[in-house]
Amino acid sequence: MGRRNGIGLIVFALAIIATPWVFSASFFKLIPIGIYAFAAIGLSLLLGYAGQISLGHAAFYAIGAYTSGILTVRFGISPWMAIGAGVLLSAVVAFLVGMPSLRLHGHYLAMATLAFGEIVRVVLDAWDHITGGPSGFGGIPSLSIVWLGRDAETGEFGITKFVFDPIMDELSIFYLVWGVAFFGLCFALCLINSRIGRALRAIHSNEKAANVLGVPAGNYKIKIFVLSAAFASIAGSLYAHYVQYLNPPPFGVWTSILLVLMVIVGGMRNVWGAIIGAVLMGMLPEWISWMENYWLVVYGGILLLVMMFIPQGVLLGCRDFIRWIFGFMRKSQSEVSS
Amino acid sequence: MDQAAATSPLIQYIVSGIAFGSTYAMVAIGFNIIYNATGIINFAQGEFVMLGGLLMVWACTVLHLPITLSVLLAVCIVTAIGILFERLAIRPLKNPSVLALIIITIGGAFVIKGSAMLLWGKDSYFIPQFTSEESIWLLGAAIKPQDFWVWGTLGIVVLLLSLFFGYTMTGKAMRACAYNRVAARLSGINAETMVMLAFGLSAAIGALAGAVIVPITSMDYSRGEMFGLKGFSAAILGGLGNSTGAVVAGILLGILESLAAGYISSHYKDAIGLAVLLVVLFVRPSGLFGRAEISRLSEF
Amino acid sequence: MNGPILEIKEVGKEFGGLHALDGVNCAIPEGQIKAIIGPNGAGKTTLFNCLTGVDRPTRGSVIFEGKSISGLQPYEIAKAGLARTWQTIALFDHMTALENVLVGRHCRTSSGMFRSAFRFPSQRREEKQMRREAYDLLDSLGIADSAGKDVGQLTFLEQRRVELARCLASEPRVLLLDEPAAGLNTRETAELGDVIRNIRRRGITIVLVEHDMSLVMDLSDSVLVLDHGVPIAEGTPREIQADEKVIAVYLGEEVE
Repeated sequence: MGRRNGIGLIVFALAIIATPWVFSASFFKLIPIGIYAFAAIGLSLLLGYAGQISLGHAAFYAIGAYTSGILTVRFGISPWMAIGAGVLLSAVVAFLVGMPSLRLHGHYLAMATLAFGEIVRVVLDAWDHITGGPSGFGGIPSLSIVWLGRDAETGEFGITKFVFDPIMDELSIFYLVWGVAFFGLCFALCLINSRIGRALRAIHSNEKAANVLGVPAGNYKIKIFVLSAAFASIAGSLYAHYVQYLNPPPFGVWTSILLVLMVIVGGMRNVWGAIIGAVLMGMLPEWISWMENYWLVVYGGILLLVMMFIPQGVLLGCRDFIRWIFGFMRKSQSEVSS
Repeated sequence: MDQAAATSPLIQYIVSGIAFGSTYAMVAIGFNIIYNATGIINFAQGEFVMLGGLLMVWACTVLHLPITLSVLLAVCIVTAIGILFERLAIRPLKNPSVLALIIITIGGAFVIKGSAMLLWGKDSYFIPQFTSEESIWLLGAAIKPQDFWVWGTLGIVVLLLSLFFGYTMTGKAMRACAYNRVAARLSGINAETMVMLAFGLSAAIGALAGAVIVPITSMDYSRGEMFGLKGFSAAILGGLGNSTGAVVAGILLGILESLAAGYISSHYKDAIGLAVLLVVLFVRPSGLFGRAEISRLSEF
Repeated sequence: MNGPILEIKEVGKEFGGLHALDGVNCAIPEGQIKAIIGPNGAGKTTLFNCLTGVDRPTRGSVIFEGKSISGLQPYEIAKAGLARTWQTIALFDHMTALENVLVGRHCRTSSGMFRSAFRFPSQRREEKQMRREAYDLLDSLGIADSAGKDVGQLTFLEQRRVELARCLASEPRVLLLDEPAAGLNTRETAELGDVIRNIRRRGITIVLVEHDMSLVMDLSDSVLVLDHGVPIAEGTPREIQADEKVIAVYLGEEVE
């Protein structure tokens, strides 16, 4: 995986652990961002590595969330099982949507996923006896694990149930969400630094040449699309168990675009970018809340400008900028000395 | 009242479907013009329709201009925006990838949409029909006078475009670019101008579609995306790049949607138009009247 | 005598009524260097495209090691043992030279997504081995120093070598070279000739499309001449040089 990624992961882990202690009053704002970050990692594999764009990831996010919500609330199924069911459903749906459009080149996946996202949104609104319609439904249980520790009620030590209660215990939910994001990042880094990752990058660079060299491009594009849908689905499930209430607005096309924006801003050829982008774009409303009415313009503008001027994203953009400064200084120094 | 009793829902649905379908057809033509000239799918296409509609409302109700001038003004402004968009966001790119172009047109779409929200807020607007509010009864269906305006506009657009592409030098040059960009450039056609022209032209058509459909449907800042998606569905259904196909497919799509809304559920109206897109991509990506190239790509 | 490893039978390709290839027949014995020459537009690259599955022949068939490969997907043909280079170098940008060669190893390795993402021991072993093999290949072509460089930073000659290494990494039985000497000077072309001979020594059959006649005549065992998609002559370099039809095609008006 490389030493640099290893060091990065250690720093990242320390940052996750330290954040709630350093920003004890505001760390909870990073919980939804961690959820987005996880979905963005999945999308970054598709967008940055396979070079395919999905404008409908909110649909998979919705499938995960609603599957978790509906199965746990209406059928009393264990939340972990429900997450699995959501992933399975998302994967099947992604396969069906992705197969025809990925066989074609260029824009087809973008449009097909955009249309698919809208269809899912319409269904969430219209299929009200299952989804609760526009008013949604609540009462989704918290996630819990069985572990060895002190029981929350009796205080006894032993095998007990630990509940990630989003209201009483934001800290545990924070660690859960960012722990999942950390795991997702490790997973993605391992994947892209393997023969699969190289195959994906080859497809992004020159699909025809990759095919002729023995990389089944169509096959991989579908696989990675399904994988990224599964990431979005897990993120959706986490969201459902965190907010414990579901209604359609968070699953509109806007969320799909926001995810694309996170990946692009962070830098699409770098999985780390998904984390950076998620934090930057997720915190933006906090930082410039006075621009509330300008959101669409601001985000659209950022998307445009980043793509036009720093297509490598802010992470690599900063690195290139620093290199350029150093190169400039070295050059002027040598001029002075000579 | 006895007229109402004689209504035939089927024909009524078809009639109102044709009006929306004509709009989709115009959006689809807009997609095709840019696609043919550049190979780009312009994700901001639907926003041109929205802008055209809202500007029309503004010109009529705030400036109190007559209908013709209002349409003209709306079309001119949107055309200028289309050209500006091409100059500022598309042209500066050197060797852009398909991915970059998709993302940039999406960014553009959001900037346009957001600006519209700032200017007009989140309210819906509409204006009275161009001529009379009195519906005309035909075969048991009430046809709004505005329907004729929409059909007529589509007819005129198609007529003018076929004259433009068939008989003017500029139009022929644009077709040459669509056929083979490199060869066109070598034979002295300024491809950059053609791209700019394509953006202007398709923005104008989008705006026109928006301006004539406002009296039938209300318009707000967020409507552009749906017009864009349905227009794209029509473009794919008709075979991407094939404008005759786009007209037929657009009208078919409008009718289908209207029938589905009438007989199944109006909740699912939007979903059905889009499901058509997915089904076509699945079954016949070259469209009903498609050209061979696109299906050839599917071999990989 | 070696049997033919690659047989082209009556292959024809039409593009919208235009015959790019028509009735091409050719048998390439194992271990030979076969050159395909002809004026621009003779259909040489189209023939390569038909052989590698990039284009589907309209007629005829391609037999590789006794089995028909026409109709197979490009990646299946690669796996069967046919590799090619491109007229305009088609390296994967934003990747290092070593990574490019590693993509070439793809069809000879097997770790899937799951095993890769969770770093199974078998995957680590395979990864380590394929890195060593790729490095050795770069070394054998004399560009081991550039292994870690982004391919965009390499010189033209180095890029050609990386492309060759990438092809060799897929362990081809037949290697198709599309104008490998294009853009090289005389000395570089001579070096390339040595590289190609070395590749043949590994037991790889080579099909060469080339405009540089001295390279063709120097290297090849047998030459096929195409004109407007139709084969007009086949034989040893010496025979081809003396063939009147070939001279007529190449020199055109001057003979008339």
